[in-house]
Amino acid sequence: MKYAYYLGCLIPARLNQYDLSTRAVAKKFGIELVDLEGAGCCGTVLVRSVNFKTNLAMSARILALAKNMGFDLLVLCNGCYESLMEAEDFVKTNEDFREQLNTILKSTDNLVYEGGVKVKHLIQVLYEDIGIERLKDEIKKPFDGLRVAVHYGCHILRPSHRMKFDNAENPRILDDLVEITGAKSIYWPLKLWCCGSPILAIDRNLSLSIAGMKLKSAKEAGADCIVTICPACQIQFDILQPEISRVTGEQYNIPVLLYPQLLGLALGFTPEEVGLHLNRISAESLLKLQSKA
Amino acid sequence: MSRAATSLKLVEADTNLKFEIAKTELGGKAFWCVQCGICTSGCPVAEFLKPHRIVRMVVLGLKDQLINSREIWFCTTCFTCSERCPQEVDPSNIIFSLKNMAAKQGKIPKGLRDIGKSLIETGRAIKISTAREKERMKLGLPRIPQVDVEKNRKILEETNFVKTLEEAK
Repeated sequence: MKYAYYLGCLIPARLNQYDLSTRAVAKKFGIELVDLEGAGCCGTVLVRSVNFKTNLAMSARILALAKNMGFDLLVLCNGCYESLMEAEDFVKTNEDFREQLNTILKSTDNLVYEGGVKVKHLIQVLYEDIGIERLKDEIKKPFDGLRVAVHYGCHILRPSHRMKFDNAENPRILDDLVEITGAKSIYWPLKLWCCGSPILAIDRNLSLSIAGMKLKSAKEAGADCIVTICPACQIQFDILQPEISRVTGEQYNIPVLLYPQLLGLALGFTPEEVGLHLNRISAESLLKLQSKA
Repeated sequence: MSRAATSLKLVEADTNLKFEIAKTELGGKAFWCVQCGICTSGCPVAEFLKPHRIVRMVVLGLKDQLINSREIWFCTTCFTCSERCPQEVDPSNIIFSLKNMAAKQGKIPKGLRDIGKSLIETGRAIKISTAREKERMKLGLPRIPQVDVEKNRKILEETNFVKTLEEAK
C-alpha cells in the first residue's frame, strides 16, 4: 500500500506531532508514504474566498503532481481534503473548466490533469484499507473508560455531495476509530459545529469565542479530551486554548489529541513516539487511564 | 459591527446579481430561496451574519451593500447552511461569490492579504520557522518536501491572484 503523502502548510509549520504519529502508525500497518515533492499550498477556503479559480488551479497542480508519481494521495488536513476533492470533482464534471485549468497547468508547469487521482484522508485509509478488525487486533494498551469528544472538522464532511466522506449529519467513521482504542465517544451538543479557525485571520476574537463555545460544550458533556483529525481545529483547541480562556474568561484544561496520537498510544507506542510532549495542553492525565500492556 | 443594510435602496439594485452568481463556477441559486431560515438556524456566526438575509439581499440585487459589508467575511465556511438547505440554494458558495467580487474590487481583509503575500513569496500559507525544522530533525522526521515556489507563483499570476492582491486595500 503506497501513497503520495501531502502534508500541506499547517502541519509542518505548527504540528510536527501529527506527521510523527502518522508515520509511526502507517509504518506499523505497512502503509508506505512517499513525500510529494514540489507541491505548494492547496489554496484552501482562504484562497477560495479571494479567487476560486486560483484555489482550484493550485489543487489541480497537486493532483497532477501525484498523478505523475503514479500514486493516490494521502492527506492529513481537512482543508487540503476539501480543496483537492473540489478540484477533482470540477475536473471530472465540468469540461469547460477542465480545459481552462489545463491551459493554466500547461503554461505554468507543463502539467496535464484529466482526473483520476484518489484523495484519501488518513482516517479513510485506516478505516477502509486497514479496517476496524485489523486495527483492533493490534491494540495493546487500551484506554478503558476514556471519555472522548470526537471532533470531525467541517471540511471533511461538508458539502457531502463533493466530500463523499460520511453522513454529514451523523458521521461514524472517526467515532468508530476512537472506540477501538477502548475509549467512549460521548454525545456533545456542539460536536458538528465549526471550530472557528477559518476566520482567525479576519476576526480573532470571534473565531476564538466560537472555539470557546465548543470547548465548553465538550467539558459540560464530561469529556476527558477532544480528538481531532484537522490541523486547523487542533491548533484552535490545543495551541490557542490559553488564548481562548483569556477571551472567554473560562478555564477548560481539556487535552486535545490528534487521532493518530490516540491510536498510536493504544497500539503501544510511547508518548514520545507520537509527539505527545509537543501538545500544548498536557495529556499526561490520560495515560493513567491506559491498561498496562 | 455594521450591518450590511439598514435600509433598502432598490433604486440602486442590480437585479442581474442572482443570475451573475448562479453562472459562476461557485454557483448558488438565490432565486430558489423560500426564506425558511434553516441556514441561519445552524450558522455558528448567526449573531453577525444571517445567510437567509444575505440570500434575500442577493435576490433584491443589493450588490454594493453586500460587497462593501464586513459580514460576508465573517462566514466560517463550514458549509452547514448549504448542507441543510432544502432548496439547494447553496448560501456558502453565494457568500464565496460575493467575497470573490469584493476582492476583485480590491476589498480584502488584512489578515487574508497577509496570507496571500506568504503564498506568493513562499508557496505556503504559513512560513515554516527554523525552530520547527530543527524540531523535525530532533524527532527524526525527514526534511520537509520543498515547494517549487516559481511554478507555484506562476499559477497565482496566471489566475490574477497576484494582481488582485497588489491592488487590494
